[in-house]
This record gives sequence, C-alpha cells and structure tokens, in this order.
Amino acid sequence: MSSPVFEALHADPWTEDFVDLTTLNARAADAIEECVQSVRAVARSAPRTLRSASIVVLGPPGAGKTHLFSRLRRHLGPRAVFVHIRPLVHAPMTPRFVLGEVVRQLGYATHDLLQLNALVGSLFAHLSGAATSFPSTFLSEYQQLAEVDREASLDEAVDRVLALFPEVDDGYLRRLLQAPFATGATQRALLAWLSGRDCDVAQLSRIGATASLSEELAMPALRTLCSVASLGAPIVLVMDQLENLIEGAAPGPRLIGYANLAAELVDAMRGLVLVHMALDTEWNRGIEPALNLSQRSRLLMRTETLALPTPREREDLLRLWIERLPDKPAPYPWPFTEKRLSRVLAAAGMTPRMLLVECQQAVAGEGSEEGEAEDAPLESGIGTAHGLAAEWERRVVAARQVLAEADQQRTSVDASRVADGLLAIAKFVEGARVSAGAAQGAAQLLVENSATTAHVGLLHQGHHRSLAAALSRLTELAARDAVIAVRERSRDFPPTWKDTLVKRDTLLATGRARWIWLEPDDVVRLLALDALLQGARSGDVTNGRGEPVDVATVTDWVRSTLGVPDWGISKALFETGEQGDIDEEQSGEPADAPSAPEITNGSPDHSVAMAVLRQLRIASLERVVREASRIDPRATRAAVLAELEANEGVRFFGRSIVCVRSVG
Amino acid sequence: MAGSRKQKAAVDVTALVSQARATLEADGVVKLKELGPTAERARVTDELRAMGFEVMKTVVRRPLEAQLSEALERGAFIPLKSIATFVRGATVAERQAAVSKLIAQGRALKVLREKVEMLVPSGTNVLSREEVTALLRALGNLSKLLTKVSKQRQASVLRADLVEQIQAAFPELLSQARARNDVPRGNGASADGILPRLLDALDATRDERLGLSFIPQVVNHLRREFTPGVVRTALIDAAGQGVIELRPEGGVNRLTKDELELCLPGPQGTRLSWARRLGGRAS
Repeated sequence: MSSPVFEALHADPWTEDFVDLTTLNARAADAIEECVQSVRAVARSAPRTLRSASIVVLGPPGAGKTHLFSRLRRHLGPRAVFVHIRPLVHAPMTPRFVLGEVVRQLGYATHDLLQLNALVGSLFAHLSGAATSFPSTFLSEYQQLAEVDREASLDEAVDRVLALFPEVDDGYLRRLLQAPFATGATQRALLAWLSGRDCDVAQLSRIGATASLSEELAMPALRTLCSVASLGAPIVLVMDQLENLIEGAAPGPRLIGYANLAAELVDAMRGLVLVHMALDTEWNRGIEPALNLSQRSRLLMRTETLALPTPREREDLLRLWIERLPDKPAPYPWPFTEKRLSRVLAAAGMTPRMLLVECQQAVAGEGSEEGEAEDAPLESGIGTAHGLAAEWERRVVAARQVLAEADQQRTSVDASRVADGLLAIAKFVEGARVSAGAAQGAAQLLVENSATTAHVGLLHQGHHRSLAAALSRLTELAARDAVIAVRERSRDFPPTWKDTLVKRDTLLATGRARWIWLEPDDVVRLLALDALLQGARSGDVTNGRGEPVDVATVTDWVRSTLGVPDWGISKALFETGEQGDIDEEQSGEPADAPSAPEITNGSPDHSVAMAVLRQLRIASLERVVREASRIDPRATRAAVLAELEANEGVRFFGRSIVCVRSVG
Repeated sequence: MAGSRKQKAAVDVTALVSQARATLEADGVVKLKELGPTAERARVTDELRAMGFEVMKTVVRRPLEAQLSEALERGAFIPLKSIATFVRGATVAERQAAVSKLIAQGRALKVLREKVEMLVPSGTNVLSREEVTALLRALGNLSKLLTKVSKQRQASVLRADLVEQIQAAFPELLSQARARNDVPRGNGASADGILPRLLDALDATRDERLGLSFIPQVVNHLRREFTPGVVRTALIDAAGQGVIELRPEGGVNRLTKDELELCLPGPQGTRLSWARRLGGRAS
C-alpha cells in the first residue's frame, strides 16, 4: 500500500500537506516563535534598538529539523516570512546568494498567500495602525486604489519606513512595495531585480531600472528586506544541512566563510531571525570548534537540541499516520500487532523518521515482531538500489521544477548551484579534478584532467552588457590560460546581441577557449546529483525500507548506476583534446547535446521505450510510459512494460523504477 | 744569657694540613686561626687551596656546591631557611648564589612545601612549569565556581562535577585510587545500584552546549566500577524507564572502532552514541 503519508520520509520544507504532532519538539518551535514575536515587538516599539537573533537547532538525522520549518511556516502563516537555504557546498556563500534565495522564496505561498504579499501586506497593516494578521485585506485596499493614488500611498509608506529605519535603501524598498501590485512579466522583472539577478534589457525597461542590482548593494538590500519585514512578518532565515560545510578534520574555507557570513548577517541586519540547523554530532565535532569567539557570540545566542519522541508521542504519531491511510482492513493498532507495537514504542533511539519507516514496513507486511534490522537484511542490496533510484528520481523532479521556475523567470539557474553540480561530477570522472577558481571573478572553477587545465566561466548573465563584460574577462584570461565558457542552452543569444556575439567570437578566436552549451537535462542532472550527495551527508537519503544510506553507498551507487562520465557535460568538460581546438558552436551541433530518441519499433533494443530509457538512464516506469507515449501515441503502458521486460539491458528496481543495465 | 728565650720547636706543616683536611672533611669548614702558628698559616692554606678547598678571609671551607650536592645525593630535602646547617663557612649571599647555580645547572630543584622553600635532588618527582600552569588554571576555575555558588543561596554544585574537575586537575589521585582499589572490577558485573552512578556519569560527561553525553565517554567514566556490558545494559534500562533518552549517531564515520564497540545498537542499523537525561533525577 502506497500512501502520501509516507512521502513525509523525505521532508519537504514547502509541503502543505503533512502530519504534525505539535507537542513534539515544542520547545524548539517555541524558541523560534518567541524570537519572531520579540523581533516584531521591538521593531514596533523601539526600532532603533532592533537587533537580529540567531538560534542553533540540532538533532540526529530524521529528528524533524526540516519538519520544524514546515510546522512553523504553517503555524505562523503570514506573521513571518520563511526562507529555507541549503548551503552551497563547493562555492562560498555570499550576501548576494542569500538575497537571491530570500527573494526567490518570497514567491512561495503559505496558506495560499504569497510570502511577498504577506510581507508587504502586513507592513501596510502596521503602518495603518491595524493588526497584521490579515495582510491580504490591506493589499486589496491598495489594489483597489487608482494607480496614481496607490503610488502616492507607496511613497508615503516609504517615507514612514525611512523615518523608522533611516538605513534602508529607499529605491529597493520602493520596488519591493510595488511588486505585489505588479502582474505577469512586470512582477517577474521586479522580483528578478530585487533578487540581485542579472536582468535583461526588457526586464530593466519594464521596471524603469537602468541596471541590475550590483554585488555591493546585496547587503543593503538584505538589510532593507529584514528591517521592513520586522514590522509585520519578520524574516526567518533557516540554514539547513550545515553539516555539508565540513570538509575534513580542520576547518575549511567553506565553514569559515559561512561563519563569517552568518556573523555579518547578525551584525548588519535588523530584525532577522537566523536559524542554523545541523546534525547534532557534526555540529559538536566539526562546526562549533571551528568558530572563533566572536562568531560564537553571534551565532550561538541560543541552542536547541531536538528531543526524540517519547513512547506516548510515538503512539500519537502512529495514530495520526495510520488515521490517514486509506482502506484500513482493521482498527488500530493495525498494521502493527500488539507485540510489534510494544517493541516500536519501547525501542531506544527511535526518531520520527524511523517510526514512519516502521509504519511503512508494517503496512507493507515487512519486518518482524522482533524487528532487528540485522534479522532482515535487504536482499542483495536490491532494496538499497531501489531506494536510491527513487531518491534520485525525486531529486530529478525537484531539479526540473527549479529549471522550470528559472525558465518562467526567463533567467538561468543559480550559477552557484550549477558550480556545485560541476564540482560534484568530478568525483565520478576518473582523473578529473575541479576546484573553485581563483581567476579574480572571471571564472568560477578550475578544471584539470590528465592532459589539460582550464578555467571555467559560468555565463549566467541575462543582460547582454553584463554578458559581454564577462566574455571580455574570459578573453583576457584566455590570453594566458585555457578557458571553458559554459552557458545554458535555454539562454542562447538572440541574434540582436551583435556585440555579445562578436565578443564570443573573439573569445573563441583566441584558440584557447571552448564553448559548452549546457543542455537542460544536464542542468537537471547537476542539480539532482548535488542535492543527492548533500542529502546523503545529512542522513536524508534512504533505502527501499526508508532507512538512511551512508555516503559511501550512495557514492558507489552513483558511480555504478548513473554513468556520470557519459553525461554530455562530463564529456565536454573533461575531454582531453588540444586546447582550443573544439568550438562546438562553430561545428554546428554541440557535442553534448543529447540526440533525440531514435523512434523505431523494430527490435526491442530500438523500441521507443528503450530510446526514452537510454535518454533518461534511470526513471520511474510511469515516466518512461509518459515520454514514450508522447513520442509515439501507440506506446501504451502495457507495451512499454513488455518491451522493457523483454530487454536484458534493462534493470528493474521493484516494479516502479527502471534503468539501463549497461551504461556506456 | 739569663732569661734566654726558649727556642721554638720546628712546626710540622704537613701534619697541620692533614689535621685541617680531616676537620674540613668532617665539618666542611675550619677557621684560619685553627690552622696553626701564624707564620705557617700561609703555607698550610696554600696546601689546602691546592687540594680544592676554598680559603676565605677567616675560614677555609669545602666548596659550597660540593657541600650541597653531597647533602642532596644523600637524599636530603634542604629547607632554604636552615640551609646553614648543611652548608658551613658561607655568608647568606654566598649560600644563595650556590643554590642558584645548582638549580641553573639542573643539579637541584627548588620546591615549595606548604610555605617552606626547599632544595631537593634533581631526580625528585615534581610538577613541570606547564603542569603548574594547568593546575593553577583548573583550580582557579574550580575556585571561581565554588565562590560563585557560595554567593548564591539556592545554588550548589553537582558532586559529580566536582569530582570530575578534581580528577581532571589531579589525575594522580585517580591512578592512586585505582592502584589502592583492591575491589576487583568483576564486582561491577552487578548492576545493583548503578543508576545513580550512571546519572552522575552522565552529568559529569555532559556536553553543556548540546546537553548530551557521549556514550563511550560514559562507559569509560564508569569503567573502574562497572564493566562496559553492565553500563550498556544500565543505559538501556534507564532509557526504558524514561530516565534518559538514547540517541542515534548522526556523524559521518566519526566514531573510532573502539567507540563503535562501546555504543549501543539502535533501530534500523543505527548506533546509539549519545544519551540525554530527561526530567528529574531518579532515586
């Protein structure tokens, strides 16, 4: 029996539908809520004395750290703005990255209300002297005003905020307040500008800006956001999975960079509630010892260690989950026997996730009354592979969503995340090495293989001038070193960007530069791989039984199953050719562009289903059916299943996940 | 000639020297006027000087460092206040200089016993400078803690914390106690009465920031009294009683092999490596 209840095994901070036992970890939730209330109260009564708060929330894997985020988000609703950030693993986190994440997540909704609307609406409510519980009402009032009147009201609001917080950037604030009332492309342009992304000409002209937000304005922009939000819906910035910052025994630059950034945020922001979440043991051994006294005093204002559920809480949780299961054949304690239930309730060290796994196994008729994991090992690792395949599929879906969001915003995926992905694939390509670049901003990464070394510039810019400037910097770099320019295929240059096209030709003419178009599928793979490896480090990647899988097993699975060296981006990035002799743009079709699935209905090897599967490498059966039927409407589920089953090169994980057995 | 002077007998300088040397060996010092007739005194002192004795204005003496070294070699602990009883024929300044020289040469050590400064042989087991500094710090902390507690009427100190701090400052106490302990460790096979000791151990090993105690540390803390097996069983019992909470290891391969062995098996293949006290103290 499959149920959405068991989706909670993989905590989604933005899920609207989840089971919550509010007594569990109420102390940590209360601590954060108190901070939010305190920030709001001080912002209203004595704004000049307003400071930021910082809380550390620790717990073992599956204890409910991410769940806590979902709970608070749902509980506080429009009374706070929640931002959830996974740290960048390979690139340093900058104020601009944080700003981008904050504004991106202003576009997320809680209780069907966009956080952007909650922020601006509650500010208006406060400025009107009303309660801030119903921000939509105030937004509607502003919405109904004639545009001239609304602009005048916005100006007045800006003036009043400036009187309270003189340090806010009025230009930024003006556009922030305009955003909820803008529609369609204008709102997207406003959000793109507010997030610090490089806007294209059309976006800038649409919002009346002359340039995108520069790097040095990221901190003032963040300060403005935090100050303004503190009056109605304070920003709760949650940095999750911080254990991924640990690089080795000694504190590495990522961790130190994070500590510096967090300390700076605490110092420079007014009214920000900063929450650091990490595995308790990793924080204790790897993170906190690396912090200096000054950083500790700023980050560790309060520490909350999540408790595990008591037997009573376990029973309550089980009842909540089981209640939501469809078609229950027997009353509670079904699916458990009394004996098994007693064991589960009494077992030491049971996290909520473990409890859910027990419930899932009981529903599936797996496990025993004694229930020792050692008694029922996963057969030949199939369960592990099945679970990992499902985990991969889940992250691919999430990455596709990120890509779709970026497409909708007419922008590139965050270059830092792409850089993380590129650094991640290097682990799986023999002889390849990728490190953070040191080319003064011209290139983000340095790629080395047995034959060559090259700087990699990720060209994510949306504006032709910014892009031209980046190309010029790369051209300068190419005068002495090999250079690889990477840009998403979806952000191809329009023919009107003549100057930019000339700059690109100049770069390629140096003879030391290569151009790689990053295909959407590769972007998805990079994001998914990075997320999978981070999840593994945090104990969030599980096998078929929902039990955590260690990093080494995940890495082995990736190596043996995903065929990373054969990905288009891997081949293009790490190929060993003479420097500068590859110009895929000039050669017509990019080498890394995946070929369209071959559509024939002859032998099983050349079936539509196989062509789709070869393209996807690993996917759910449903997806293969969906893709195949799109290409060939005659491809029914039964036909696809029959084709795949008949092919020895296909491996099934359970009945829902399939992959190509031999990758190459 | 009437009243003629009686002719003086010849003086045996060698005998005088031998006599003086015997006195010097025995007493360490001899006065110049005791060396014989004034006329011969210069010859005698020359002989003694040639033998390595020190000829001063009024006395001849054995070298001060030799006098001190000999005393130390015999195992004497020499109070500096009464050093004159060990060193003869020297002024205060000379004695101090000799002491400093010996210490500088590493041939003697100066220690404080209560309020008395003493010179002891170089091989004596004393604390190094670093140990003194560390102890000073540990005791300073302890002193501060006790002072603070004494000022708060309703506050006290966990006995386990006190013992832990004192043992940390004076590890010798622990090893001496272990050496003296004639109770075989096998006695610890019984879990009777272990819970209070277990809770003390949890308190003593608790990481204050996390509020958690690392189980291998808890087991080692109680190793003198109980076998690891007994402690592990007691941990599970305590968790069953709801007195403590056992928590799974979240770290990435951070446990050593020894630590892994001391941890408890948890659900779904995990290892329980941390414990936390819950609620009030069990009796």
